[in-house]
Amino acid sequence: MENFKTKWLAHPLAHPVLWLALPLVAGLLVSLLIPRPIVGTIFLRDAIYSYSAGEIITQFRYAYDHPEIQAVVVVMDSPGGTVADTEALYLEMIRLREKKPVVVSIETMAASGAYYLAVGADYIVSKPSSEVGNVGVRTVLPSAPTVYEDDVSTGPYKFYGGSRDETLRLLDPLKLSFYQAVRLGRGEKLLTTPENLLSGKLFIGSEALRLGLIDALGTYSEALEKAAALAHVWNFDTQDLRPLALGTESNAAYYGFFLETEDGSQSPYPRAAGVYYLYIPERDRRLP
Amino acid sequence: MKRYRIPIAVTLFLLPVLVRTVFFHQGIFWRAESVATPDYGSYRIPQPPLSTSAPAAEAASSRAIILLDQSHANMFSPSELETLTALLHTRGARVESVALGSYGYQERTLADQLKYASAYISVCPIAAYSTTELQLLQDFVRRGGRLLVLTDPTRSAVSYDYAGYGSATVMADVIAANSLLASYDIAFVDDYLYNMSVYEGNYRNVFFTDFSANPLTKDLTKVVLYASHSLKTGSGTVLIQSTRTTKSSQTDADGAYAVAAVDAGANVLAIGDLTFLQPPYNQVADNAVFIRHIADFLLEAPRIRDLKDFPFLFQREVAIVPMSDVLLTADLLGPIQALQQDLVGVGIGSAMAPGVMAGKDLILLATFSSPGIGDYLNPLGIRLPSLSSFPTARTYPQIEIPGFGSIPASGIGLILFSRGDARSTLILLAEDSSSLTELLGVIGPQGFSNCILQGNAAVCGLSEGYGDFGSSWWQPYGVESPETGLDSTAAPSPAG
Repeated sequence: MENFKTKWLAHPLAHPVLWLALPLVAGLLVSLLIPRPIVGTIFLRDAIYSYSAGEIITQFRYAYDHPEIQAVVVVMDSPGGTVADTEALYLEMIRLREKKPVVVSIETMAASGAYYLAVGADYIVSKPSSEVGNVGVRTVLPSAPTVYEDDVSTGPYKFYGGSRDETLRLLDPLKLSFYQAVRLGRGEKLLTTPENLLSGKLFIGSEALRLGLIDALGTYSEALEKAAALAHVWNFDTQDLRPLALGTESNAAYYGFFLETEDGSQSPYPRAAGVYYLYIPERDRRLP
Repeated sequence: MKRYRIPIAVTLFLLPVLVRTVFFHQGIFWRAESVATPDYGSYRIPQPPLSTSAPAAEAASSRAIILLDQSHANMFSPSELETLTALLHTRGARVESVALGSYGYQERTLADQLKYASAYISVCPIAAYSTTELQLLQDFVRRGGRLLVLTDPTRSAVSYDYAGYGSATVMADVIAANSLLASYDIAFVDDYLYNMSVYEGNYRNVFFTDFSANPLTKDLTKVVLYASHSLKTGSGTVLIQSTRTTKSSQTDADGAYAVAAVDAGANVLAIGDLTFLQPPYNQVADNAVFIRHIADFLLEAPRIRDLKDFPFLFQREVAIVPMSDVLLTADLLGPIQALQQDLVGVGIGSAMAPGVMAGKDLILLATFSSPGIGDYLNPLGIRLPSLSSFPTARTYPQIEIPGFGSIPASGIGLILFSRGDARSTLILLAEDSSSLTELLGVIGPQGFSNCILQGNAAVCGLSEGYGDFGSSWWQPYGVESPETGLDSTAAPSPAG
């Protein structure tokens, strides 16, 4: 063994320079395998419904599965959407959050279901004039049940899903779960009363900050930095996760959630009746 | 040196890795606790409180007619009142619509319908009541008719500005309703009540447990109204009001808000909700009991019928009795037959009779000098002069009628009405048979023409006689009261 050691150190490759250079080069090469951390960005600039929720869930899953993505910023400008899709997004976000920090950056609006989603994040940043809140549920009550000669069913509520009264009562547990999501998400930071929160008010960002509905007023850049800080990374890259997760830059296939008016413009009213965590501006709501 | 080569090599190998790691990472993200989510499985759909059963409806005992307003763009369907109207029908009452016919004209005038009605229901009116309608309804209530005004915050009418920016104009039902209630010191507020902490399934469905003592609130411990206007009253009585944690949408302020009230005369009932009358909400808590009380309120109207209500004065068949000095000439028979036709038109049969008949109402045809007429008039406070001496133009005998004063017994006819438990009596009184014929001529299906009506007395000008009607004979006294002072419950009879 001693003989082997002596012979090896006497070998030309055992020259001291090589002893220094080779490990260093190898170390440099190996270090390149350590990826630059990425703070991924997911944009929610639509209502929350099956199509938009499906896309965002794919991006959440991508972020979850890729270690180079160290944190995620969700950029929001949304009036909310369907209850089920909001819950799906929220639960996927919570799953991701178990692994990586998530920050929400609110642009113009995070109302209703969008705010439900926001409270699932570690940190919420909004503009001073962003509209935030509108906690609550809405629906349109079904017609009173009747029977038709040609259009038949196997039960009185097959056409309607339930009675008007049951549909109205259905909103209460949904409202309570929304409220609990806010309580769990904001915790001690929430400084307003349940009554004020559940009144359905929209608050501007500065007021939302005072009431503890958000954590800070700031920009998208600040949201990125906050996400990076929560993930304990710096010198990071940012990346829109849509092309990575979906292989497409833009939402080419648009499946409309909102009703289109006769002149082709988009109303803020959903196409289908249902139960929604959705904010609809009052003036437009009254339009038939 | 050679002995350190390996550690140095390892260090040099790790150095770039460490540098790059530190360049990118300040630490390791570690979440100590899992993120909590709502316990979705723990939420339950709220159920309404059990219904208190209302006492069984009594057998048919009322012949009341209840008017249901449908002529003011009322925002409801009659089927929504079925719970209440079924109770009324069970008790023998009839609900009749006050509706606009073709071209917007009422097929029967409100004035006609109010003559025979006991109560008037107005539900969520949008179109304004005219001054005439308001006066008719005020007169109706003054004479014991009952008025029920129901409004509901969900029944506002909305009009859209399609030409402009699509702006919406909301026309609340409280505006027209308040015009109806203004005389009774009750006013609905254009709001809705809500409670964010204690509610029946939804924040706008409010529990009410504060009741004032009143037949309308008897045995009530908890009522639920499903979106209700609040109301205010000064001289009236608040029947139901909210707990202090209830808010009004108008101010979002806590307060004890009234939602039901009766006026000082207890003939006008205002309630700020319509939904509680409808299934399934009529069966929640004590709502069914409250609805039963509302039906009682409508059926127990102390409706006082007076001459204004002609021909709807009688409840049963009428005996037409001429006094002994009244000659049934051909001239008189024609108007009598017309009078009988008027009565047939309102479902009352009549027949000539020689005298008062048990179980029948009475129309008495008499002259000032009919033997025994005083027996009918004295209980009413009417004094006829003695006509034994031939009068002169200026000293013509005077008739004293409470409320009218002294009236020369010439060129006039009197129509007097009294209601008694045994019978209702209408007395047609004139100078002679000829004047009586003329007096019968002033009576028509719409009422009396050329007459001054006060309460249960009408003085009608006839063409014969000394004085001109409405000028020389009129010597009023004690006219402060619009009523004549006749005791409408006195039952005159030949026996006095």
